Amino acid sequence: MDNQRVKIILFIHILAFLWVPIVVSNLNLIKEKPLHGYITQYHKIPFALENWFTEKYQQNFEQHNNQNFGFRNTLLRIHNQWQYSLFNSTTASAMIVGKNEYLYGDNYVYAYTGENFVGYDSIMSQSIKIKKLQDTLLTKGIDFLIAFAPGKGTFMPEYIPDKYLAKHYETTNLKAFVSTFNKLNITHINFSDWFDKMKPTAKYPLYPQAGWHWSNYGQYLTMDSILHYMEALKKVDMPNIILDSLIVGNYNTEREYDGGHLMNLYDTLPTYAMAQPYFHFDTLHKTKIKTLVIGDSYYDEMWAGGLSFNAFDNGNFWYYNRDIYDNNPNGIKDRKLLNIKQEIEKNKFILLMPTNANIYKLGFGFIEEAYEAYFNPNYELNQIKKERINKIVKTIKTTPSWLAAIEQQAVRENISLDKAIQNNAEYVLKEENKKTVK
Amino acid sequence: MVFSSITFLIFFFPAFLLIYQFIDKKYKNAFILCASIFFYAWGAPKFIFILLATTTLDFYLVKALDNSTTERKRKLLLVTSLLMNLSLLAYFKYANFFIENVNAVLNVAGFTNVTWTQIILPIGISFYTFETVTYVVDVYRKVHKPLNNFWDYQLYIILFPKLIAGPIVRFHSIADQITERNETIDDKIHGFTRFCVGLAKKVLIANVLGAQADVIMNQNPESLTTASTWVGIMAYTFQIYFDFSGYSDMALGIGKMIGFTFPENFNNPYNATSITEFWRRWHISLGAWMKNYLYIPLGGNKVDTQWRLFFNLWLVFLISGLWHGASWNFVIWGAFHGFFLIIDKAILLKFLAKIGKLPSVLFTFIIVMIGWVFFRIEGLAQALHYIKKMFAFNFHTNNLHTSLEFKCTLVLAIIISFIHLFKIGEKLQTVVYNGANTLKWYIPALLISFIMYTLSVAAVTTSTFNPFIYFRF
Repeated sequence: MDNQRVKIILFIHILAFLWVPIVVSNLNLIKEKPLHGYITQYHKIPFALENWFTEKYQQNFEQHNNQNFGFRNTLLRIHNQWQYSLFNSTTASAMIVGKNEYLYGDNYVYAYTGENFVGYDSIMSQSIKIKKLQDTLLTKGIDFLIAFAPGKGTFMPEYIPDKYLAKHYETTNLKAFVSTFNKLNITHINFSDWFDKMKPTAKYPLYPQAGWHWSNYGQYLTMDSILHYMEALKKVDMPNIILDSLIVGNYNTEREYDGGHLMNLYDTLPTYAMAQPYFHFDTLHKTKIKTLVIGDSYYDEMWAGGLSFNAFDNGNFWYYNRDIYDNNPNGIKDRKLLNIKQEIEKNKFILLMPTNANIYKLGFGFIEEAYEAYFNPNYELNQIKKERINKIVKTIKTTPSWLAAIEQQAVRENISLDKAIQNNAEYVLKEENKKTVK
Repeated sequence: MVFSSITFLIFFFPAFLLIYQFIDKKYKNAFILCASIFFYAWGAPKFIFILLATTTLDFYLVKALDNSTTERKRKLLLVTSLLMNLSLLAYFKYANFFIENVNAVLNVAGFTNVTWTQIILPIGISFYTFETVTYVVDVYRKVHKPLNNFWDYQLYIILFPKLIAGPIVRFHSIADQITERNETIDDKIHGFTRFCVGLAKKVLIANVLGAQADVIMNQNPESLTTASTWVGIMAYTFQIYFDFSGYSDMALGIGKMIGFTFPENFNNPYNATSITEFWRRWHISLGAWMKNYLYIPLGGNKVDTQWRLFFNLWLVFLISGLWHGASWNFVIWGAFHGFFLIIDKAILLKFLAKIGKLPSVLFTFIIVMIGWVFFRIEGLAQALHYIKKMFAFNFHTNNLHTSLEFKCTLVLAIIISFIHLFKIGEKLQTVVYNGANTLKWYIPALLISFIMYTLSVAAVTTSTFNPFIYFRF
């Protein structure tokens, strides 16, 4: 074969190389391993001249196709692996790659360093509200307990990269809250402290290497401890957690390797041996206390492990005070649609359990809302208004012609559909009130 | 559309190349023109009509100019064309800037501001306006006959590889290639490797340096230490070079793949031994344009006094600064370079020649870096504050933490930028940019190009992928 012919073949290779992503994605030739993590998914919008001239079509084409061309996931993993292997860094959101291949969520590190400290005034003001709520609820026979779950940054600061430790902050939210709670005599548990004490002697790892959350073993110990604390506080015999077996091995649960998954690498990150507890609840002749839990992902797994169902009399879990976890498939899932006062009073125990990464937003709005409910005289009136608006919103959403008209209005006014629906619902309520006054 | 986007790399570029290879020769120009209109309209769907309309008008104006027998009519048509093109540039690029300054004066005088709707700058307008000027002036000067075919003229202006960021191609240097060009398989392979080098320079080097430059240079200079100001400006100095020269490499590469030879735009600018030499190596096509269409008409070197020469030089650089962007910091940057060019001519060149090559390169590099501070930081006071911090030699607290990727990339950028000072570097660059037309060169070059392309696409797609660990977290 002469040189010229070989050069032509080489050029054909260039064209073929450039065409691989289009061919692979259009013919579905290769099924790629899906990526981990949550991102906004873009759906194709149809071509229309209006979309073209406003550049919406082009923008959407770029967003959609950037997520959907052939070998995209593979390329992404190549890039992430290259970043991690060569530079010890990651593109995953809110992820910090620590020393010795330990992974942290950034908020856990900021909670340890004090970078997200909200200030003494804010902490005092919130603590006063908590104290008043605790006292008021206690008169109604309801205990309100704040349990600070430990964060990985606080528990394992030794692997935090130096650049995060270089800045020095006054204090941390955890320290300031605990000190204020002690001064105001607010009932609370500081699991962070307890974990620190256990750290040198713990039989099995309390935190995984490549996960952001505590280990299943650490979580199991905490569940047991919460139950004992509640038993002592309420002076009742609550269900017990019975450990059936403890299997030690290199297996990490999804949650224990969540950071590793989010890195979207080719390779698997190193993990040390973990202990997986297998347990059941002894509920026979035991008193279950109806408990509402407000928390974050640290309670999420406890919910999945059956703590609320078996020990808290099937109590609800309010995830970030936003989503409702209950065992009723038809129940309301949006926390905003509920009357907080009525909900609180359905329970005998309120457990607010944030991890220290979330203490800077302690309660996720629960404290402020509950405080309003109990101490603002106009609360009931506002609540009636809110409930009426929610009903109108629901009616709008289930009335296609009304919804379509509001969709057009949202486009005209360049606001989100939700905002337009809310505006319309408020307008309808205002008109209703005018009629009532007449 | 930009070259370093997924839309270009995964969709436009492969589709364009494949169709281009297989269509009949007589349709190739029409196809490039259609593709170029689509390429431009993708990001400026409305402005494309203005561009097409003005180029149409220009074509007939210049044709009339060429057919004119009287000098007066020729001049009139030249001025008409220049006015039309430069007015368009003035309106779209400088109207906001002009109104802002008028309002600032009115404010001081206690008058009400002029109300004004901000104008969006159409991409590439500075480049193609200068190209239309070269067309009309070259025909007026009888350097080259105008193009007979209207579509060929449209193609010259809107040819997509050089449309967005140059190089500014002078009409006479490309006119013959539009009508008759020789495409070889060697050029196609070389073009692809050149494109990949440019893509890697932009995506794998410039973007990494740019991220760190932004972190440092967007801060209040007061909070910066001397070390961080130097790291910041170093990052920016190499970012702007690798970004711009990378883009030019990509333009030259695509051009070569379809048979066009565009002029080189960069020649190791940071190896310059003086500011005068820097401008012969940096954005060469702009320098050439300024010289031919501004400096020489002003009298060039053939002026009566040295003061007039200095004034002309300075004026050219002030305008060059303003061409880069409608903001005072660009004017100051131009003035800064103009000042050093004058000093060069007056005394500095002799001094630099005495101190030797390496010290001259270092001295020039530092001057260029200081110049980039004015270019990068909007606001004279802010820029001066930054420079003050650079020379404050405050090493008391060092809160600078840069990633390992940045450090490695910066070292790589330094090596690539200065290697040409050494013999081995000269050889290496010749191999990379002008490798031999042999299989011995092609096979490894293509393998490396494929790797660079893959890594670049991977980096581009990852830049928009920042997953969260939990939904609604």
